Amino acid sequence: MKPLKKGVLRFISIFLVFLAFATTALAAETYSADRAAEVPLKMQPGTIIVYTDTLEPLVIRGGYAQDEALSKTQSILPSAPILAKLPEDANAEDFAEIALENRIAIAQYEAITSGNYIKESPPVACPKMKVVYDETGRISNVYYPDKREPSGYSIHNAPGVKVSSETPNRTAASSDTTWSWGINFDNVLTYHAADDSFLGTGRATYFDDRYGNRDNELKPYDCATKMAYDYSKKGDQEVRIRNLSTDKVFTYHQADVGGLPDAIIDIWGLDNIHELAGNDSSTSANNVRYYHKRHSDQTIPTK
Amino acid sequence: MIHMQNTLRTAIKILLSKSFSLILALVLILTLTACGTAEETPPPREKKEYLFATMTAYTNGVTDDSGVDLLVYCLDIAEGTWEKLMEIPYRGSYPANCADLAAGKLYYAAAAPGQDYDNLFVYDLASGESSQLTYGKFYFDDLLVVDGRLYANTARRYATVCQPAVFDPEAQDFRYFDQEDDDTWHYSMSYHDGTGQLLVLTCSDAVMRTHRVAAETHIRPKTVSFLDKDLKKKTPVFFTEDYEIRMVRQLDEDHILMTFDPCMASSAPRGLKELTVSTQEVSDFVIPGLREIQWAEPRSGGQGMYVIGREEDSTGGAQLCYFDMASEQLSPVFPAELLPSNFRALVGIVYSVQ
Repeated sequence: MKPLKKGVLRFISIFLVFLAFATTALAAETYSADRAAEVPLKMQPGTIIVYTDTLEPLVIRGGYAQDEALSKTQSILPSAPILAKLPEDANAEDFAEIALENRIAIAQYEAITSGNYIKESPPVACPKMKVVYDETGRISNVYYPDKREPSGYSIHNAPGVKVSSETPNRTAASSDTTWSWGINFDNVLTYHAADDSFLGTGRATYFDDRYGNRDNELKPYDCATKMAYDYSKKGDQEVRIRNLSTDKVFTYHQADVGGLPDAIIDIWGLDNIHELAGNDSSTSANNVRYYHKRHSDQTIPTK
Repeated sequence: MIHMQNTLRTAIKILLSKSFSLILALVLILTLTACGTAEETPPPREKKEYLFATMTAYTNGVTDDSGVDLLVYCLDIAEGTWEKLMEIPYRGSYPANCADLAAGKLYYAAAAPGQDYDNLFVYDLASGESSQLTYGKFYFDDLLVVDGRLYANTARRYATVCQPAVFDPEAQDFRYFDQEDDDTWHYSMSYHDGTGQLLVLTCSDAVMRTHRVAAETHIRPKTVSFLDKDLKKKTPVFFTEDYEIRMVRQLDEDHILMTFDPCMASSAPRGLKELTVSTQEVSDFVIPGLREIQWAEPRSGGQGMYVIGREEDSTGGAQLCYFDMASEQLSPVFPAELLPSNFRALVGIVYSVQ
């Protein structure tokens, strides 16, 4: 083999140095952008973050969580599906209702344990977005600028909302579809094809916007569902919500939609979340389940 | 003699030809007079029964990603023929619609491009052109054409509830049953040609948000009422909080059909009940072969009804069927060959005599 000329060697060296520099610079830029877009799932209790136009987080109140591990998502599954209890005075209709709810809940649990579900990516920031954390440090809600609201923010005014999942080449689901999201992936939503219904299990948070997504005035026993998967513009449809810890059942009206990055359902009004949680100090309820038939304007989910 | 006969023949011929001319002239005058009269006052158009079916279809064939198309079909019930009246790209909350065939118009609710709320549009059946009639922020639940007037069950901007209203084409706005009332939900509005009245189903918004309804009964107390066409007089005829009424339709002067669930957000199949107004008796109305009835539109003569429901042995979606009440036979009515290949959903049906 002929030895390489000095000039060629010099050129290769310079090229390699340039390549290494360019790769490092590109990687640093990408990392920086990702960091700016990340929304922490856990902060100090009561924290409020507002993002700038360049997606820099401004911590208005509170601060970052001390325990870094807590801000990472990790899947924590209960050892068995949580089933609704049958009341002693249940009639045949009650029995049928609860039996169906439990059947779907078992199917939902099996979908999660077998990995047959869609895992949602962690939430990302958008310009001027406000993130509010509750007394446990988990996300209570994300709010988007909205001139129609007296507060200047609403849960539904997300820019460029894409009301569907991210999987390409999708077709309408002919079988059950399950999604999971949140800090512990403990918010799970299932579209049950045979019953043409939605069943969600997880955490309930609260919001206090004045208007819903069709400019309807929000009132007690209104709630919001997750706009990415359970979206109805028509609204005012009933949603049955069960606190699985107390087994108390309430009927709410779906009157808004929101991002719900760490909740399965969003309850309108502080009094109502207190009632659902079963105490006057919580602004969330960690163990609830909701059910409703597919609304008339909702498309069958795609997978 | 022969000459006399010839003269007589000629005389008769002349007489006949003159009479004929006179008769001809008379007929001509009468015909022209009749034509002139017809131009001034056309004979009343014979009313016919129609069923309008609303469907949506995937624009890209499989998902909502590229949008949704709205299709409205019309069944001429006497002729048994279906016709597609409209197929347009659709954006909006809920595609309530109704056709005025005599006027060649189809009214529908949709959102204008770039907007996220509904307004009223009219589609010209001859030209295929649409134009916007209102510029507010509405939500429409029902649209009806009765004797050339357009009725809507609608919620305007900032209103919580839907309520009956009649459209004023001059003002391009609605006149409401009670402009000040933002508490009374109207869940269902229909018209019966035999009785000449509207039928509505109502519930108080304040009552449905009480702890009793939300946490104990899970049933909204509802009232069924007649409403006159001038939207001035509402006459309650039935009240219940024993089950959740969804939709009401008049079967005849004394009978009302009600689709119902055992309670709100129930997973049980939706059923049908029949109310006898004069006795206040309510009985289950079973349609053999259907396990769930989502929509019922009885014909004005009471001989049968069009229903959207799930069949007993079917695992698929809801079907549009006709139930003959005399023979108790259930049969699908929408021709399979007309069903679009990119079919998405059967949204609803409207029965109309016009």
